[in-house]
Amino acid sequence: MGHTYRSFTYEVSREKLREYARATGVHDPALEADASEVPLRSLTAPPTFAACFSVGVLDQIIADPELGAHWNLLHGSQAFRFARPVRGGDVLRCTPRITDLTSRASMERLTLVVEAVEADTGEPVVEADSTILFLTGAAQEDAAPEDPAQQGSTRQGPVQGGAA
Amino acid sequence: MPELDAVHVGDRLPAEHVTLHQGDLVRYAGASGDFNPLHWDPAVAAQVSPTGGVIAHGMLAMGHVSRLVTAWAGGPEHLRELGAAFRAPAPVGATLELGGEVVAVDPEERTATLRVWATLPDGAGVVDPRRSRAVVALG
Repeated sequence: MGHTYRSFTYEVSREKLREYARATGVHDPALEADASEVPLRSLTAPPTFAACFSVGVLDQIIADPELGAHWNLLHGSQAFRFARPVRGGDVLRCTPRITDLTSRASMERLTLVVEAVEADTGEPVVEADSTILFLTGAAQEDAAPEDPAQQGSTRQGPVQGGAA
Repeated sequence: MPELDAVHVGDRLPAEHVTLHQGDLVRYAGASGDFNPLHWDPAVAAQVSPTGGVIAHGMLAMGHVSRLVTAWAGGPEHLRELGAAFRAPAPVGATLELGGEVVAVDPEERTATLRVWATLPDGAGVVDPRRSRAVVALG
């Protein structure tokens, strides 16, 4: 494997940081402050904010006809390694690549890594690993106990966003 | 940021509880861009969910765990790594216990490794305590 997908640029905005913080119960006065009071560059993202530009890449993978992936999937695990925290105003160059694809009895396990670097300097910021389990047809029941939390879908067409 | 000398294996983060309502899942979907209908559409969930109903995003549980660890670490800038293994489904309305425990201290790197979790009342790991870890920089 080792297939690398097209890089994309992600800009970290104040409003998105605030929205994400509120959604995960984070109470950060700097994020809640008015834009006239706290400069964008002084804002620090909650660590899992990196999901916005990593887990969300799944729809790009799913759309890859060569991979033949589908939306009957589980989100098995997620990991982030930080060179530094994501900050407001960051312009990140994000490159998804598949580092592993393993066939098991009832599923294929795909490991997707998204490397996010500063767009202008190339300095590393965060690396995100997602493990996705693509279930194969009738074997779905077999796979469910391993990771029922992230049961995907057998339904109509692709959905936006990630697995879990 | 906790000081190296003050952190010991076995130290526990103050546990918290959080109840995940449907509105919280909708809010997380919008914030993260993950609009999988499993997390908001009962008709879809009835067909594909292991519980037969809408369940929370694993990432939402991980986000709450992250909040707990980040508070202990003294800010996101002190978090080196965070990894979660998703296992048990969290139905709408479930109350999760969030927690963490120091399992290793590295005096050379000045880091602490914690096992972290988000568990259902029966102990089932939504964020699995056995396979979910955080690495925090120490002062």
